[in-house]
Amino acid sequence: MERTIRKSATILAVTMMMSSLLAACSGSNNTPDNTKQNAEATPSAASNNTKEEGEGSKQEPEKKEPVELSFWTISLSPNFDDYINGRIKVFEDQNPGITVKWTDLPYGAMENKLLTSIAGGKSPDVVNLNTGMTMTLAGKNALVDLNAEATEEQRSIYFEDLYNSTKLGNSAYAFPWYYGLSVFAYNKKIYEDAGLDPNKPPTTMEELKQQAITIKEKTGKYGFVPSYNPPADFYFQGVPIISEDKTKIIVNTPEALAWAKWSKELYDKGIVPKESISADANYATDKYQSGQIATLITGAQFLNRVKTNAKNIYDQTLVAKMPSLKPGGKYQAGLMNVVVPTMSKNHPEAIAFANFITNDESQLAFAKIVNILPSTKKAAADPFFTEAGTDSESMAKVITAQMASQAQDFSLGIRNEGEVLDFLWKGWQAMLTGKETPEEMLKNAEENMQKKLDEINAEN
Amino acid sequence: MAASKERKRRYRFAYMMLTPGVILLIVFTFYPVIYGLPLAFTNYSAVDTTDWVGFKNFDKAFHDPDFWISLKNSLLYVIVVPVIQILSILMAVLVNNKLRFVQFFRVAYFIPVVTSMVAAAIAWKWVFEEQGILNYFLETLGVIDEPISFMAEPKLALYGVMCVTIWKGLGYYMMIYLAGLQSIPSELQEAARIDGAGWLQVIWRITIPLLMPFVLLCSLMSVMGAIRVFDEIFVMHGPKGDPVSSTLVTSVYTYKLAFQDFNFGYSAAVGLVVSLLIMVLTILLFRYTRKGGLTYYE
Repeated sequence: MERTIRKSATILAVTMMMSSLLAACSGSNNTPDNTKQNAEATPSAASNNTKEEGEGSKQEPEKKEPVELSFWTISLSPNFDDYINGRIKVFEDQNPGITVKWTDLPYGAMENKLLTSIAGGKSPDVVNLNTGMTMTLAGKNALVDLNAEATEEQRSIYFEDLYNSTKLGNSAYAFPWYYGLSVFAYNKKIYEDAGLDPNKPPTTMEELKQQAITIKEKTGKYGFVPSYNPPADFYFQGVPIISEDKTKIIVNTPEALAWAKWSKELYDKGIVPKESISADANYATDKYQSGQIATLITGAQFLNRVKTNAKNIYDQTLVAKMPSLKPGGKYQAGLMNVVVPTMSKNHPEAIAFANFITNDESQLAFAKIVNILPSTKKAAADPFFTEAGTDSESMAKVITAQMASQAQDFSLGIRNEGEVLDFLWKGWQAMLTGKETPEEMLKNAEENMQKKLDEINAEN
Repeated sequence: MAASKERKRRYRFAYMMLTPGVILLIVFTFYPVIYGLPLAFTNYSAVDTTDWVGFKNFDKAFHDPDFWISLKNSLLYVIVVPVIQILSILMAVLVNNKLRFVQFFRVAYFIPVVTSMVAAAIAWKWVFEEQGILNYFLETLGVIDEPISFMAEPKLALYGVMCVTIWKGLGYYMMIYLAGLQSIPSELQEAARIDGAGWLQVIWRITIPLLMPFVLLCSLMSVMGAIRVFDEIFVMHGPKGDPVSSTLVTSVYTYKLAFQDFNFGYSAAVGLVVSLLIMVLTILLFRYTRKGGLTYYE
């Protein structure tokens, strides 16, 4: 009996092992084939579309059979159910035969869910992703190249800088959607308690530092929480990070050293909280709304959170333009994109819908219900963005709209950029905690990043 | 003959009852584990092409500083095991006494076990912050002049997380030890006391040797739990094991490799190495704690 059981168990284990081996091998055959098939099939479908279709959202795809598009978004439900369902209805009315099934996912769940869907062969057709996730998936050949498959008309409605945020070589993998620019919110009462003039918010980071020192001395509270993003911060300081031809890392520059030393001094002298080293966006907002920190650098759309959670702090809040890193420099745009996975079986229809949900009309309507900025040129020029009210949120809208022409979402434009930039993130923390000097950090980061870049370039 | 039929019937019934559990284990445990083995020899990324890469992933792991950091931190994390075991044995001995309100203490010690780890980790994060409760107490008592950043200081961050694991695990192991203590005949302890043994001596000479099978079980679970620690680190320090990888442990690293970098193949290889490590530690534990228990002394 025992022998039989043992024998059966062995056979079962071996069978499972063999089947998993076969599955792994078959995976290696299936995946590229599917990818290739789609890539080969879709340009012709797209080009047919291009010739016969009219403009943007009013296009009627050639296909007559009913098509159901699956559309995934990040954290838009339930707050924007009416808006999204309304836009879907308009699209469906304009495109008979196409229906759109909308699914909303929490921010943290999107990447995993999308990945498992693609791996399981049931990819959604249109997906809302941020630039980081877009670049990761684009680097794995999982997204449709819109430079190859979308029409010039579809591509031309967006700001060039924003459209190019997801560029890899000559390919671009997303239609930019909405984005938020940070504003400088500050607590009027803490400013007054510290003897500072609330009507004179800082215009540069150096001024912010001086004010933070005064606030700490006079009130014991922190002046601000830096939201460290070393790659983007360096880039907007004028550090190239990577050469034009994407072969050389350029991080160890005088501008980078000055910024690193400046930041280290703030950290070492305790002008900013030590926890800022690994703090997420919620940390600063939580501290600001509990009155523990005098200022908050946040996306205009998040001021609403302060209003809901701490009305008394919100009533004391004034907003101003972000203190600039560099005079006349660009600002980091936290961009949301819309992409079409390669595994989608309906490329032309999916591209048409992705273009529709991000077109002038859709984005303007969206901006009117939440404090975001549109990525299309016509929508951004609407008078709505110059009409200021008296509350903090309305003022933030006008301030960010004025900064829109200087907005850019930072990306290296290479495959697996996260693996390259990781050295800069780690080096930054090592520098702040005293494990490396600013000089060592830049030297080591540049060497390691170059090594990784060479590996990636060699693999591709 | 009849007895043999009866035995067969009983076996059939037993297998029938075991089947659902075994099916669940096969589908959700054995199959993924076995499927993961060949993945370790590929560059599987779920979305891109998959090729057989042989031992390249293992070679990469042995040359990857982050892998060694995570391994070192995971091994360091095992120091929670003796702390949890000693404290939970002491707690079990305390709540095994016939005290007033003993039921209240038992329940109170067990509450952390049923608390959600995510909620607990967020709460502990507030305790350890610069402006948190711990710093407030230490400053009020005059122990420190300046607040200590338990979360941001690389030398302290991992120990902070260990406190959460210890706090959460104590009640669980205490319950197991309590069951063990109640299975020890009180005559043995009474006899020792009559022979002049003190409280500590009774615990050290009688209780703990008789509890050894429970110590083995709890230590085993605790070691495996320590090597696989994930939730508290992920919630308190994120998927990169901030600051400066000081809280990067193997399970968090395998998660990052798989679900952030999409390097499932490499992640599976790291996972496999960690599994082997757990196996070695388990064998060592069995070897050094097999003595003890009531039957051993009989």
